[in-house]
Amino acid sequence: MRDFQYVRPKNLDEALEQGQGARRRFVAGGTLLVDLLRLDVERPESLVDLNGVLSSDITWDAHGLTIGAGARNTELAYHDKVMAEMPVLSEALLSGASPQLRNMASVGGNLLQRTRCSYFRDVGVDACNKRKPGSGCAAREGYSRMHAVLGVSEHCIAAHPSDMCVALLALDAVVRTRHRSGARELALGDLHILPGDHPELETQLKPGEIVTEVFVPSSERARRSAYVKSRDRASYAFALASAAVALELEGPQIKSARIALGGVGTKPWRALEAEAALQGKPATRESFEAAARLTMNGARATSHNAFKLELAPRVVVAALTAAGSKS
Amino acid sequence: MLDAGLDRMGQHFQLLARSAGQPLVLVFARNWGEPSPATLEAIRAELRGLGAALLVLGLHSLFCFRPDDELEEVEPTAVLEAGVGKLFEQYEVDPGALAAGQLTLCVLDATGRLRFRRTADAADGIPEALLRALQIAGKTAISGPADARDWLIKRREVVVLSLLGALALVLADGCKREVPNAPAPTPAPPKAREFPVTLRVNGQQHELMVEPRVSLLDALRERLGLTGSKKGCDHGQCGACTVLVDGRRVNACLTLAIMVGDKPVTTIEGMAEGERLHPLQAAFITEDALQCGYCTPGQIMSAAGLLKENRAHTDDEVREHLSGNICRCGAYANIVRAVQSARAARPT
Amino acid sequence: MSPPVVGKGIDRVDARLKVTGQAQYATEVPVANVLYGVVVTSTRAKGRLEALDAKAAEAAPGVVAVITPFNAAKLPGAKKKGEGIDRVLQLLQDQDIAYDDFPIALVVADSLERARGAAELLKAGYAAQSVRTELETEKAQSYKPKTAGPRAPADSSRGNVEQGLQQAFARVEQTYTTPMQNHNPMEMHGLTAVWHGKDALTLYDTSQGIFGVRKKMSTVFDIPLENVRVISRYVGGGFGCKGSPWSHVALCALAARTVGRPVRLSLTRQQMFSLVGYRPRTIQQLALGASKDGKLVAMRHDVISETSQFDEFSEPSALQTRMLYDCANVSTSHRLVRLDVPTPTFMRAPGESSGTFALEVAMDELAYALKLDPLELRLRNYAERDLEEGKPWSSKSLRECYRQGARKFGWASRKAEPGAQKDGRLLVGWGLATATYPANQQGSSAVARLQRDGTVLVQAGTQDIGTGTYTIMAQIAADALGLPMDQVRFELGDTSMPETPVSGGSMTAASTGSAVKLAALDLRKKLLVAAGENPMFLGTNAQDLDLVDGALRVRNDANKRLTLQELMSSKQEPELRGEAKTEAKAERKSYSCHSFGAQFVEVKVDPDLRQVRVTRCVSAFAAGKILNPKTARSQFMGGMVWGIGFALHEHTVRDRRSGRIVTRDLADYHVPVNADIPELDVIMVDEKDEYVNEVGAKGIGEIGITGMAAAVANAVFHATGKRVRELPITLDKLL
Repeated sequence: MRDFQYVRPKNLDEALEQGQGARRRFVAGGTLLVDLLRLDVERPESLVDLNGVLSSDITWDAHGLTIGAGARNTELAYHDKVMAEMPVLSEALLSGASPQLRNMASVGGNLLQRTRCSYFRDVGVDACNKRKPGSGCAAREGYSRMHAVLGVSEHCIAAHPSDMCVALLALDAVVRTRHRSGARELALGDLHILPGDHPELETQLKPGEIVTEVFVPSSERARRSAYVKSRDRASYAFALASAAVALELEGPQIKSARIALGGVGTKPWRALEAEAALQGKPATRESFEAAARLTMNGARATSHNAFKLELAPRVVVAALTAAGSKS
Repeated sequence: MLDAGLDRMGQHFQLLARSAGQPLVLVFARNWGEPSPATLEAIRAELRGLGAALLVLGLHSLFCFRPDDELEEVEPTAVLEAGVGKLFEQYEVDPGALAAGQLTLCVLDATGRLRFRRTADAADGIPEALLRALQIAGKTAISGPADARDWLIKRREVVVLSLLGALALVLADGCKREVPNAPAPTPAPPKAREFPVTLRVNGQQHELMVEPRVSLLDALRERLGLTGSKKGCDHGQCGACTVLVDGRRVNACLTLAIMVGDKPVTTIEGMAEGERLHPLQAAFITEDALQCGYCTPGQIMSAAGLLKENRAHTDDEVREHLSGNICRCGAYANIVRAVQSARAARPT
Repeated sequence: MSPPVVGKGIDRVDARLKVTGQAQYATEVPVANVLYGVVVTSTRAKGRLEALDAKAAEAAPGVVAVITPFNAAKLPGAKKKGEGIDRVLQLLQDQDIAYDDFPIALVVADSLERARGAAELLKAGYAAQSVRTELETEKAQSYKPKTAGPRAPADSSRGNVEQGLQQAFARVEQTYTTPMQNHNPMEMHGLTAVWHGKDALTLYDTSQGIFGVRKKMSTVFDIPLENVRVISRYVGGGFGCKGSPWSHVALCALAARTVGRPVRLSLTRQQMFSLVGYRPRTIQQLALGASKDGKLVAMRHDVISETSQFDEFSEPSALQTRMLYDCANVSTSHRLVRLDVPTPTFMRAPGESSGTFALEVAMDELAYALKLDPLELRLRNYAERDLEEGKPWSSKSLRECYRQGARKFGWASRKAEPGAQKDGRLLVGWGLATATYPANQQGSSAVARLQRDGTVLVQAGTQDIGTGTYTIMAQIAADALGLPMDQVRFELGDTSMPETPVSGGSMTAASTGSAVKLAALDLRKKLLVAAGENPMFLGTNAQDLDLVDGALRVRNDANKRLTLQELMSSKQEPELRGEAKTEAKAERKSYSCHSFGAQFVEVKVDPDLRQVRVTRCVSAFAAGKILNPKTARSQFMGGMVWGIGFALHEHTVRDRRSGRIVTRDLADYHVPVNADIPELDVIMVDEKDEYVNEVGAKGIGEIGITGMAAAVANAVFHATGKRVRELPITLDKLL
C-alpha cells in the first residue's frame, strides 16, 4: 500500500472541494477501498473521509424510502420498512459478504463497488484495460468462470459483483448526487455504464461527485419481491448468477414485473425483454420459464462461463417463484 | 591464559559457554529483583531485539538468562566471587552505590567489545530500571540507520573473540575495554508522515503516531502489542481479525486506524474480566471449539457480536451468521455448539 | 494410583491461552526494535530476472535494505537438498526464474507498511520464456519417480491384472481427476529471525518440523547445528505445508544477518499459493473388474501428477489400492510430469485423500454395474490381510466401522435408484466410502523432569498444530507416572528439547507419545529408587513402594507417605530426569499397520439450481487407542470438513498462458464456511493394538479426509444420477 494523505471534511461543501482531482478517493466504510489499496490497484494521493458528511438516516414516508449514502448495509437490511415493503433489498443485502463486512460497508460504497475479476485485482497481470487502458484483457481468453455474459465487450468482461445494486435496480431506485456544480438525480440503471471501449470508466459520476442518497419508491410491486443467489458455497461468496424480481399482480395475472440480474452482467442488468414477456401472463412456472429464457438473449459466453446461460434463467425462475408465493 | 578457576567458572557459566561469540548484556545490580510477568515479558522482548543473553551480577548472586529459557541462578563460589569482583573493578562499578540501589548496564557485542553503558537509579525497583536501561540500549543500537549499518559492517569484519576469552582477558590482564567513539551521525532518511491518533482499546487510551495507511489490525498487533487479533488474509476474506468497534463486529484489517476516532474498540484481550473468562471463552474450551487456535479470537469476537445482535437463534442461523469466520481446522460444529451453550449461560 | 487420564476427554490444556489471545504465534513473540521483511515475487513464470530497479524502494522512508539476486550474500548451502522431506529452495542466489511468484527480492524496513509500500516501488525487467504448466497437455512427457510418496515403490504388481479384467463379469474403467489445492492454514507462514553474533541464530517460526528447519539453516548458512535454535510453540495450522522449511525462512534469516538486526517476516495470503507447496493435480485411471458375485478379480490404478523442474514430489494416490480390498490381481503406477511450477508437498493425507476419491467412486460405479449395494460390495471384498505386503493387520476393525456407521446413518433404508429419495422438492442422495490411512511410527525422544516443587515437566521438541499434542502428551506422562494431570506439564516446540520427527503423517502420538511414555516410565523407576534411599522408606522393599495421587506410599502401610516435593527437597540435585529414545516398535515389521473407517454422507440437491448441500455425515473410525476422545473427535471432524471442501469447493486455478495463479486469495479459493457444514457424527470404534507402538494409538489427523470426497461424490450421484469424476463438484457440472 502506497502512502496517501487523509482528509476529514466537516461538511458536504468541504468534501466536494477536497474531492476534486483524479487522484482523490472518497472513503466511507473502506471495505472496498482499503482492499484495493492493499492490492496496489488503487493508488490515490489522498483519501477523503465522508463519514462525518454523509447521512446514515433511513427514512420512510408516503413516497418511499430515502437512504442516506452513509447508512451501513446491516442497518438497511434489517430496517423494518425494508423488510416489509421491499424484501428483495433485505434479502440481497443479507446474501452478500459477511456480517462484519455488512456492518462496515456503506450504501454509497456498495453502489460504487468494483469488479472481483482476479486479473483486475492482480497488478502482476499486465493486460487489464480497466487498470491500464489499452493494455488488453487477460480474462477473455483466461479463466473466466466468474465473468459476465451480458454487456461484455472486446475490452472487458468483468462482472459487477454487487447484490444490493441488483435489488435496487429491480426497485426502480434513484440515486441522488451532489457535485460542486450542483445536484442531480439518476436512475440507478443509468448510474453504471457498460465497459465498451473504456472499461476504466464504470459509472456516470464525474470526478468529485458524491452520492448522497438513494431513493426507493414504494409500490405494491416492491412488496412482492424476492432475491435468489446462486453461488459455489453456502455463504460468503460472490454470485455465479443472481436475480432480484418484483411482481405486481392482479389476481392471478402479472400486471407488471421487474427482473434484474447479478453475477452475469458487466453492470447490474435489467432484463427488459423478460419483464415485457411477463406482462399480462399468469403467475405460473410456465410463464416464468418462458420469460426467463429471454434473459440470456444477446449473451456472449466463454467456455468457462457458458454454464451461466443455463443457470441464470433457472435463478430467475426461482426468484419469480419465491416472489409469486409472497402475499 | 585461563587458569583452573576460570575453567570452573566456565563450567558454571553454561550460558556463557554457549554464548561465546554472541552479544551479552551485563547488568550490575544489588540483586535480580522479582519482575512482574509483564516486565519480564518486556525484558525478554528487549533481549531478543538485541540478540543477546543477560547476565546479572549481584553482590552475592549471579543470574544468567536467555530470553527463551528460564532464569538460571548460579551458586556463588569463592572463585566466582573473586572473578565478579574483578569485573566490578574493570567496569567501574561501585559496590557501595550498588548496594544503595544503583544499576549499571553494559552491552557487549559479539566480539566482547563494550558498545553501550548506562548507570541508573533503581528507585522504583531493579527490574523496572533494568527494563528502562535495556529499552534505551535497544534504541541507541538502532538510532539512525546509517550509523547502525556502519556498525554492523564493522562487526562482521572484526575477528570474533570468545566471550569467555574476553572476560578472561579482563580478569587476567585487567585491560580496560574502551567505549568506541560513536560514528558521526549521517543525515536521516525521509521520515514518513505520521499523525496522532488516540485509540480506546479495552477501556484503555493509547496515543500513537500512525501513517494513514496503518490498519487497525496492524496498530493493535505491531504497535500496541495486542497480538490476540489475528491476520489471516489482510483482505476481509477470513474474519480472523474480527474485533468490536462501538459494539459492532468488523474486520480490523480493512479498518484504517486513523478512521476509528473515539469509538471504543474491544479485542479478545478485553473479553475476560481478570481471571474470569467470558462465557463464550469458557464454552469454546468446554466444547473444544478450537484446534490450532488461530481463528479463535476472531470467532469469539464475531460470536460476541452475534449474541449482541440477537438475530441468529437456530443452529442454521448461527452457522450463517458466523460464515464470515473461516476455520481451516474445521471446528465449525463445535463452534456452533459453543455459541449456543454460551447464549444459554448468559442470555442478552 | 490416580485414575487414568488417557482415554478421557479432558479439555485442551492450551485452550485457555488460545481463547484469551495469549498464545504467541511465530510473528507475535515480542522482539523489541524488530525490522519488517517482505518477500517480493516475480510476475513471470520462466526465464531470467534481467534487471531490478530498486532506487525508489531504497530511498523510501524507513527502508533499511533491499536484498536482490544482484546484491544478496552468497550462501554456501543454498542449493543443497537434504534427505526426506527437505526441499530445494530459492534464495536470491541467481537470476533464474522457475515458476510464477518466484522470490526476486526482500525489502526490509522499520514498519510493515513501509516495507510493503517500498516493495511496490520495485521495477523488475524479465527475459521471459513461454511456459508449460498444464498437466493434461503435457502428460505424455511423464517419467517414473524414484518413489511414490517418500518411501513406497512407484509401481506395484501382483497377479495378472489384464487377465482378470478380461475375465471379469463387470468392469469399470474411468479417469478421475483431482485439482491443485492449497493448504491455506489460517496462520500464514512467517517468522522472526534473531542472530546472536556471526554464527548463532534463533528462529521463532511456525513449523511442523523444527528440527528440519534447524538442519536447513545450518546447511544453508554453514553454521554449526548446535548454534541454531528453532522455537515454534504455537502453530496456526499446518496440514503439511509447514513440514519442510521453505525459502522465506532462509530469506528472513539472510535479511536479519544482512542488516544486523532481528527481522520479522510474514508471507501474504497471495504468496501462500506459490511459496509453501500445494497438493498437485492428479489424473488417475482406475480399472476394476469383478465376478458376477461381486468379488474383485482385477484392480489397476495409474496415477499421473506434476512436480517442479528442479525438485521431485509425488502424490502417492494409488497406495491404498494396493492394500484396501481382497483382490489377487492388482497393479498400480505413479508417473510425474515436470512443469514450470513450484514444487508440491504433502497436503493432509497426501495420496490417500486424492486416491480414495478415485478408488471409492470407481467402487461405487462397480456396485451399480453389479446392481449391488455399495456397502455390500465393500463387505464382499473385505481384506483379512494386507495382500501387497503379505502380512496380517496389526489390527483392523473396519467391519465394525461399516456396521456401526451404517446403523447410525440408517443406510439399510437406502433406495438404490438415483433420484428415488426426496425431501420435498430436494433430491436426496446417500453415499458411502471406505477411509484408511497408514499408522506410522518413527523414532523419537523425550525427557521427563521431576522438579523441586514436585511437579513433572515433560519435554519433547515436537509440535502442536492444533492436533492436541500438548494435552495428550501430558495425559500419557501422567498415566505412566501415576500422577494427576495437574502435576504434569508438557512442553514442546523448541529444538533445545529432545529431537522428534516432523508432525506429519499422523504419527506424532505414535512416535513421540511412545517416547514420552517411556521417558515417564524411566523417571518413575528412578523416582522409586530415589524414594527407596529416603529415610522415610528405610527398610521398605522396592516393590512395595508405589506412587499414588502424586505421593509416594508403601503398600499396606498408610502411615508412610512422602510427597514428591518432600522427596526432592531431600536431594542435592535440582531435578530428577527420566529419558527415552525410541525407535519404531520392532513388532511392527511383522504386521501391516493402518487405521480404517467408513464414511456415510447425505446430500440434498436443488433440482433446478443444482446447489449441493451436505446435510448429514456419519463416520466411524477405528484407530487403536483413542488417547483423548474430545480432541480426537475434533481431529476426525476436521478431516471430514476437509473432505467436504475437497469434494465441493477447493480448486486452485493457474492461467495456462502465463502460469500465474488466478485464484490467489481466500475469496477466490473456497474452503468450506460454517454454513457448509452440518452436524458431524463421529463414532470412535474401540480397538486394541499391541503391535503398532507403545501407546497403542494409530494417528488420526488425516484419516477423516480419506474417503470423504468419494462419499460426497457418490451421494451426489445417488441424488442426481450424474457421475462427476472431476473435482470439485461445482454446480455447473450438474446443470
